[in-house]
Formats: sequence, C-alpha cells, structure tokens
Amino acid sequence: MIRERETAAAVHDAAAPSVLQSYRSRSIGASGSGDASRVIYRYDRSTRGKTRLTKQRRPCIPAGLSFSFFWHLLQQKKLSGQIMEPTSKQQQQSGEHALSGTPMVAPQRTLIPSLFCLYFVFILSLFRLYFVFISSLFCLYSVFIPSLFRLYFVFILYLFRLYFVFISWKNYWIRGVLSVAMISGFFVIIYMGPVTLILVVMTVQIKCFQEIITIGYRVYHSYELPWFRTLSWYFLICVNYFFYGETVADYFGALVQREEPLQFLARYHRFISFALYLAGFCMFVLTLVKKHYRLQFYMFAWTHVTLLIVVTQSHLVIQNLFEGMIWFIVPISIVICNDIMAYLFGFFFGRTPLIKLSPKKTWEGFIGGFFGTLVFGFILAHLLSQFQNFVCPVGFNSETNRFSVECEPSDIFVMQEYTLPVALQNTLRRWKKPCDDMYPFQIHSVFLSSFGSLIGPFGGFFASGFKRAFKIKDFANTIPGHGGIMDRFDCQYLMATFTHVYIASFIRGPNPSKVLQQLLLLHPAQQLGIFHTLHSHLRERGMLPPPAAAAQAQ
Amino acid sequence: TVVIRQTVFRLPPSDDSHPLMLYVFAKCPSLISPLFVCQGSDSELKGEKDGASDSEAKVDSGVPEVPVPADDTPVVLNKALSGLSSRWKNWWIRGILTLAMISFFFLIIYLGPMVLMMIVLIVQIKCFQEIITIGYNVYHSYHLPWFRTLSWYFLLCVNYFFYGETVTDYFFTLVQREEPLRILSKYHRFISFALYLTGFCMFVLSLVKKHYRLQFYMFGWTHVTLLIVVTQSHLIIHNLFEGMIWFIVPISCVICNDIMAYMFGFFFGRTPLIKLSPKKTWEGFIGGLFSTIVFGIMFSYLMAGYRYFVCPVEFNNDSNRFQVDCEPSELFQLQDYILPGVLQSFTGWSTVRLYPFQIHSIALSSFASIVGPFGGFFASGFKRAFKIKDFANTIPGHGGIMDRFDCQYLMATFVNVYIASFIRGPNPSKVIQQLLALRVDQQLHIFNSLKAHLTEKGLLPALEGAAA
Repeated sequence: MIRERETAAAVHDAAAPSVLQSYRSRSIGASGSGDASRVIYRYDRSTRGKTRLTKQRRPCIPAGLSFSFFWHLLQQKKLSGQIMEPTSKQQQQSGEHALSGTPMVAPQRTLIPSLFCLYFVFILSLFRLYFVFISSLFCLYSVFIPSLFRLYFVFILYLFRLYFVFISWKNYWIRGVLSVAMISGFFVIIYMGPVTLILVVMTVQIKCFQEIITIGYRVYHSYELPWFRTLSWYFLICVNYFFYGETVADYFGALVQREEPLQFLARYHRFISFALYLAGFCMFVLTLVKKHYRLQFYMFAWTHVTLLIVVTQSHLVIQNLFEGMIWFIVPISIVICNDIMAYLFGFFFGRTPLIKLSPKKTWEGFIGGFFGTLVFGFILAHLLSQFQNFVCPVGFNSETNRFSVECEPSDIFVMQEYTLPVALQNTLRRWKKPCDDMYPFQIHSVFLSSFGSLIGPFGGFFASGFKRAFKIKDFANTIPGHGGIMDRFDCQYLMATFTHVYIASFIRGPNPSKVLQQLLLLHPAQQLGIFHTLHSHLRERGMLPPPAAAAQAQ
Repeated sequence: TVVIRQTVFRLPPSDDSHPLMLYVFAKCPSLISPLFVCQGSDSELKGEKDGASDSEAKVDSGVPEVPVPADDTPVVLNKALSGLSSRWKNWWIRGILTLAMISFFFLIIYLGPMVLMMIVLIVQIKCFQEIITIGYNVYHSYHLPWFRTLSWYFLLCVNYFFYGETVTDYFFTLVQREEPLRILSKYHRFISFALYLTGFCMFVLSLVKKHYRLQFYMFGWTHVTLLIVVTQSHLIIHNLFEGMIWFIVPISCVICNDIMAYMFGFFFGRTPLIKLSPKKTWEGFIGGLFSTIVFGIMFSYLMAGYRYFVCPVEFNNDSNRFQVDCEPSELFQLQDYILPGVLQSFTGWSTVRLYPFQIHSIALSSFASIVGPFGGFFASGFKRAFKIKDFANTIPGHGGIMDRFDCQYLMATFVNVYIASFIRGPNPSKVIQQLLALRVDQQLHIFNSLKAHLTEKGLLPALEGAAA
C-alpha cells in the first residue's frame, strides 16, 4: 500500500504545476535513475560551481566585503583613538578585545555598532550568503593579527573563497577544512564572550527552525499556503519572547526593576505572551481555507513540534550558559569529539554495523568513541576548570550594564584530593601525570561524556531517520560539505537538555536572588511567617548569634 | 432506508475504495443525516478516491477513509424513543445526554476534589486515546511495530512528570516524611527525563525501513496531542487547587456559552459567522456573549458564598485527606461598589454589594464567549481536515469526549495564566521549600535582607523588643 501511494504521488507530481517543477525535474534527472516511484529532493544543488554566482547572488560579494571592511574600519578607529588604558600586559600586547565579557576594556561607543555589524553579517550569511559567513569568520581572526597584515589577509581569504566556487563540495578535503573552520569559529565565539554566545545560539536556532520548516513546505507542497509563512515565524517570535522574557526576568532582576516599562512587562509576562500566542492561534483558525484544511493542520503541527524541539532546547543551552560557560563548552566539545573519534575508530577498525538506520556507523567506532570521549572530556574539564572566565556564572553587573564573569569558584571547581584505585595510580604515575588531586567537575564530566557517547548518537539516528523518511540528503546546504546547520546540531540538542536536567538535579540549588524576589512579592503576613521560620531554622543551625548577644550588639 | 443503513454499517474499515459507499454518499446525502447522530454539513463527505492519505502531491483532496463509527445508542434509549421519527429521536437523545452530563458534573463536584482529579485524569486519557485513534485511522498505521505501546508510554511519562511536580508542590510535608518519595521528588526531573529518553531511544530503535515516514508522523502526532491534551489538563488541576470555584465557573461559562449561543442562533440567527462552522451565526455569538456575562456574574455570586468552593484545596497531614477550610481571601468578601451614573439612573441603586470575584468573572466570561469558540472552530477544522464527523462515539448524541471538551482547553489555560498574573502571588510553602534547599550562607544573606525589608516596613518590632 505504501508503494501504491508513492506511485500515485509521483504521478501527481508530474501533473502538478508548481514553482518547484523545474527544480524537481532537474533534480530527478540529476539523480540519474529516473525512477518515478522515488522522488528525491536533493538539496546539494551545487554540482556545478557556476550556479552559485547567479544574478541574485552577485550582490553578496560586495555586500560581504563591505561589511567586513566596515567592521575592520571600526576596529581601526578604536585602536587608534579611543581605547582605554589596558589594565594588563596581555591586553596591551594583543590590542583590542572589543567584545569580551570583561568589563575593563572596550569603550561603550564601539561595542554596540560592532555587535550589530557582526550579528547582521551572521544573519545574512546563514540565510543565503554563506560566502559572507566564511569571509567574515576569517575576518575575526584578524583580531589576533597585527593591523598591517589584516587587509592583506582579508584579500587572500577572498581569493580562497573564490576557489570554493569551482570545485565540488563532495571533496573530503573541503569537508575537513570546513570542520577546522567551524571549530576555530567556535573558539573565536567563546573568546568573544557571553553576549556573542547568546546571539549565536539565537541565530543557530532561527536557522534550524527555518531549515526544518522549509523541509515541511517541500514535503507538503504548501509553500504558497495563505499566511502560513508569516504564522510560522510569528509563533517562533512568540515562543522566543516567552522564554527570553523568563530568562531576562530571572537574571536581570535589578535592571528590570529600574525601568518602568520593563517592570510592567515582567509582571504580566505570562499573560502578555499567552495573549500573543492566542492571537496567532486565532489567526490560524481564521485562515483555514476550504481545500487546504489538512495541509494547514499538518503545517501547524509541524511548526509546533519544531518549536518544541528547537526552541526549548536552545533556551536550555542559554540557561546552561548562564550557569557558567564551562557548562556550555564542555558538552558541545564532548559531542564534537565523539563524532570525530567515532569516525576515526570506525575508519580504522570498523567492522560490525551498528544500526540499520546509519549503515556507516560501526560498533567499534561506537565503543572507541565512548572511551576516547571519556578521556577527552576528563582532560578538557581539567583544563577549563582553572579559568575563572569559564567557571563563574554569568552575572549582569547593573552598574556597568554588562556581563561580568567574576566570582569565587564554587566547590566543584576547587581542586580536591581523591584517592584513585591503585592500578590507575600506577598507570598515571608511569605517564608522569599528577594523580592525587583533581576537580570534582571532572567526575561530572565523566557522566556528561558517557551520556554524550551513549545516548547522544540517538539524536543523530533520529535525524537520519527523519532524512530517510522524507527522502532528503541533508537538511539544507548552508555549510558546504556538511549540509545544513541542523545536520551539525542534531546531537547537540539531546546533550543540552541532559546537561540542563543534570545541573538542575545534581549541581545547582535554587537561585537565591529569585527566591528573594518571590519573598518580596508575598503578602506581609506571609513574609513575617517565613521570617520566623527562617529565624528558628538558622538559630538551630547555629548561624545566628544568640538573641542576647544580638540585642547587645544593637 | 433499512438497506442503506445496513450497507453503511457493514463497511470494512481498512478498505480504501468501496464504490457503493461512495455512490451512496455522493448521490444521497440527505439520506445519510438520520444515520449520523449529530447534524452537520454533509457536503464534505462527498468523497473522492484517495490513494494516498498522506499524499504530498495533492492539494488536500480525498477521503481518508476513516471508518464510520457504528450507531451504538444504548438499547434502553432506543426502546424508549422507538415511537418517534429519527430526527426527533436524535434531539431527544442529545437532550437527555446533556442533562445527564450536567447532573454528573454536579455529582462529582459534590464528591470532592479527589474525585475531580480522578475524573480529569480519566477525561485526559480518553481524549488522548480518541485523537491517537484518529491518527491511526488517518495513516493506516495501526499495525506499526511498537507504536501503540510507545504512545501510551509517552503519555505515562509526561503525566508522571506533571503529576510529580504538582505532588511535590502541594503535598510537601507528606513527601518529606516518606523516604522513597523524598528521593523521587529530589531527583524528579532527572527521573522523568530518563524515562522520556528511554521512550525516545525505543522509538529510534523501532524505526522500520519501509515505514519511516509513518512512524515520524505518528511521533509528531503523539507529541502534539500530548502538548495540547496533557499540559492543559494539568493546568485544570492547578486551577482546581486554587479553589474549586476556579474550576467550576470557567467550565460553566463555556457550557452556558454553547447553550446560549445555540438558543440565540436558533431563534434569531441570520448572518453566518465563519465558513468553518456554517451553523454558527453572529446573532448567536453576540447573544451568547451577553448572556454568558450575566450568567457568570450570577453564578459566581451564588458560589462565592460557600467556603467549600472558595478555599484552596489543601492536604491535611494529620488526617491524610483533602480539606477545604480556610478564611476566604479578599476576593470572596462582599464589598461595596459605586455604580456608574448611567446604571444608577437605570436601576435606582447607588451602590451595590459585589464580590470582587464577580468582576473577574466578567473577564472570564468574555474570554469564554469571544476566544473560546476559536477552540471549537479549530476542532471543526480538524474534523473537516481529516473528514471525520466526530472524534469518537463515546457519548451517544454528542460524539466523543473531545467534542465536549474542545473549547474547555483554551479556557483552562487562560484561567491559569489569569490567576498567575492577576490573582495569586507565589506560593509561600514553595518559597520556604526553596529557602531550605539553599546553602546556609545564602540563607543567612536572605534572612538579613528580609529582616531589613520588614523592619523598613515597620512590620518587625525593634530587635531589642523581639524575644524571638
């Protein structure tokens, strides 16, 4: 019965006039088989380099270049005229650190324009103009390079980018270069601080949403449904507003209390977001068109499931980030490392297939990746736990209006002595590694690594199954050689959710400022009751001096 | 008539193309209406053959061949009403069942909060089952490996997660007493996440080569159903814990709106409201709005006098049962309101004694009348999209449970958001709970801040005087 349906679908494909007709016939021809009973939607349209430089894409080159140069000019201006006195030798040597999280360096005047420029470039790049992405990403490297060579470097990179135009993306060398580029991009973004990280997470989320929704449109041929594109984006904005509002209200409490409109928005936040969502729901009901009911319901459900998967988990990522950048970096690195290790082990030792969904994965790769990731996570945790920049919760400093990462590291990031089993001690001594003390966070990283290696791949299998179900090769073609952004991030989502649940269950208690906030909202009689309860509780614990001494102290 | 009835009811459910049935549908729509217990437009049932129920090529044409549920009106009713013609029989069945449902509603209110929670749980499970069954019928995926198990398993997981959060909030002392419950509540999120992940991994492992797309569709269908049905039934239970009046008044407003809109439409209906539901009219809509507001005011006046309805439901640790005993909050105490001049001249009263809750009930009623019907339109659109007449045939005369509850869900969510925004502050016991979970130095810090705050407000006597 399924085959009949597919044949019927193919027959109707041939008859249906649509915008995608020529595209589809081209892709069917390109697939070579001409088998009408399997419609393949191919997204890697770039088998010929010339097609990249079609007329509508030509403006991207000067646009990208101009944005890169604009950014450079900004940096130049900052360097020459207006930089503050650097308070450490390191900052003196390496020039400007415009967008880092530390409060000491960048003048306020250039922070916002550079951020805006950077963000705009990112958004543009991911939506059509990935050349801009590559060129601007490499431009960021110029932070580390003396100004003299910066312009030359950009020019060389532009030539390098042009080279991409003329070769096939299937080349594994290109894939490798792009992997290295993405990993370096990851480091650069981390270097630039929490604000940039949040912006990048948001951008990735928007792009993933767009990719999945586009697949839905292709599957259902519903691109021309009335209002539906608007409604999908509207629902995305609503849900983002709801989640960001909750985060902002939690972490920026002081800022919110200061500004009057923000206070109103924060107090009735749930009501306002619900009203916004309802408006979208009512619009959906009002746009139901007689012949397209089912398609509209399908797209509605598709949008909601995508929102559930993509948006909630990207917010969990941001909440992890606020716990401390290490809770963001280590899980992502673990997943990346697991991918690479599993691939390498599979390449060298792979023999028995793992699952029918992904025929290229092997048991040897799986187990080798597991152990490799364990070791890698352990070492990375040790490396990163030393830096306050990564370990401290990201706080918002109300006076300077910026993020600060400065604190007393909590217990899990303080070296403690552990007695390892004797065998392990001997092994480590042989390799001349310190084995007496380690951070408790490294124990946690073992759990994170095991999850990332054992359960994380299921996210990848889910995405593979999804791609097979809808007969697509990749989610999109944003990153040459790798496919869409969703292809890179499919395993990350499960990991982000797990990290959040792990932190909530085992690491973090409730947020004290939030508790205080709630306390202040209560009825005074209830506040008194709580006050007395707390008083007796603390007295029991011995934290409070006895009342006589307190009275005397007053 | 007898011949056609037999033909229709012998239709095998999984057959895609039964020419006779299609012929009957296409040629004699008027003969079909007595066979279906709910009146409605039959034009959508003129079926065309649909070879692909999840076809991506056609623009929504074709009947999904969901089987027509058999007529299972109870034999008792059939016998009692055997003298009447078919059309009137349906009206009588519908009327009797309406009265039965309303009496049942009053009965379970009388029985108390525990029973109410159980009923909400049962309704939720039944709604879930109805929608999932529709999904199976639409996609012919009833025999997918493992999938029925997985759907129920996901329902169980999500219910466990939500009920666990509720229990931890409201039964705090009980939970702290019992050791296994304490561990479960401390790591609650982790445990529920682990359970959900198990289901997710089972789903991935059960993907079968030829059925990938169906399985993903059913996975999506299950999750959207869970999102709609389960989250909102838990919001209903949250409302319930605030006080039974927050459960009764919204539901009554929605029921009253349905009935009033129907009456006004029946007597005065002229201009159609929306193409989705051709029987709804603007006159019914507006008449329903005003009468629901009036009904809401009167009904909340009735209810707000009783402590049984007004008090938050609490769990008494000593007697291990629910109790509804408290001092009514300001919302439920009569206050004097000055009428605006227009109404003064109209009624001759200068002030009127009202509960503040009645003002809130105006907001609730207007939502139920204005936005509530959109839930009904959504369900109508859903039924038209999948070419089904009713969600199921649980209630003779009315269709499935979901048919009765489609408008309620939006209302429950709205009431919950309304309470959280305008009525209720944070729950003090929850705040204490969180306080005690903090580190001691953080507790000390909060203690000092609170002391400063209270002293500033003048609520704390000076420290020398306080012997605490």
